[in-house]
Amino acid sequence: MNKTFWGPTNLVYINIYAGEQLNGLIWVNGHLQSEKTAATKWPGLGQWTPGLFGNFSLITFADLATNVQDLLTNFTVSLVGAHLNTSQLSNVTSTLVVNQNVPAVSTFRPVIYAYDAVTLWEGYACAIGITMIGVIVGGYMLYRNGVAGEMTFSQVLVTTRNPTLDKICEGDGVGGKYLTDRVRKAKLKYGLLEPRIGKMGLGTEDEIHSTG
Amino acid sequence: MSISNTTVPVLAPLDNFMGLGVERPVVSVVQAIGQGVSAGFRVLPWASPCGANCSYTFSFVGPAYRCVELGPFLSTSINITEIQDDLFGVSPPALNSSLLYWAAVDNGNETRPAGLLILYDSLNHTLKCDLYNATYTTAVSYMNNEQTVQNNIELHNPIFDGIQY
Repeated sequence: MNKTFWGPTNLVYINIYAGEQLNGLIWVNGHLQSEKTAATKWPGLGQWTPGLFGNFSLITFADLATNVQDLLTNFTVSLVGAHLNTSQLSNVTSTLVVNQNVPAVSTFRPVIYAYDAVTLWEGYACAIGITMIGVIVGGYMLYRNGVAGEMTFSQVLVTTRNPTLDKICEGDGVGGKYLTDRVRKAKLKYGLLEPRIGKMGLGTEDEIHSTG
Repeated sequence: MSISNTTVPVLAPLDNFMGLGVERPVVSVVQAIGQGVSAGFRVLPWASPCGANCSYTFSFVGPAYRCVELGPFLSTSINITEIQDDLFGVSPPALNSSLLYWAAVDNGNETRPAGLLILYDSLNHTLKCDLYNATYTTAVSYMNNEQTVQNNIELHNPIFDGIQY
């Protein structure tokens, strides 16, 4: 490792730049405190207690001996992350940051799956519960209807065969905006239309028979 | 776990480098880093050169403070008037209990190291921080790209007469 120490100019200026964060003063001005230092924004200074009218009433100083040392240490080490545009530099004979080969220890952290019965059953119980509700409702409806319906045109065709509906629709063959209120306001119900032959379909409320 | 040679950024030996006081772009960047470190009270992290979970150690020379608590200001032998010319900063309005905090950069002389002088807690405390050349051994580790830095600092010689650069 190169043991060449920093040049005097750099030492003087790093001292000034670190000092910029600390120099200045805080004093009691009458009953109020006045500040003329950036150190009030430095967390290492201590703990301020806010007072009236936005002033600070009390400060409990921290361990400044340690914190000031740490400030310059952190400042110096942070220069490693400096992003300089070297094309703007003219009077320099070296650079602020250099690359160095060092041994690095890398740790691979694989994804690990751990079995937990409670977590597993939380997910499964939700899925099974919702599925069971669907199965029960679907089974009951299948029992009531006696057949599994489809969303096909044929299904619509057979469930709307009803002379009463034909009569209601008479004269409204074009549909669309020409539909009459008679058709629009007709109250229909799906159910057992003709008990004798077990025909299910749409009809007026008084046409549909109970299947119970 | 694997060990491999990795290229990492380290602080250059700033022996002939004049940038910290001369080159405007360098000064701006360094001052901004100083403000960031002060506000965050920690090392400003840099991107991992070795992956999300890794660690490495490097050494470099740099400046460091050695701070000593000297106790109540009035019991010290520090004569502010004598050293006033070497101080960089705002002068204290009065040296009495109304002075809660006062800090100045001390550029030092032939017999007094450069550094910082801080009087605080109504003159009940005097902190003198001397500037040293030091060797840093810095261990950097990343866990899920979160950086942690630990420094081991070996102090060498104090810096005298900093103003005579």
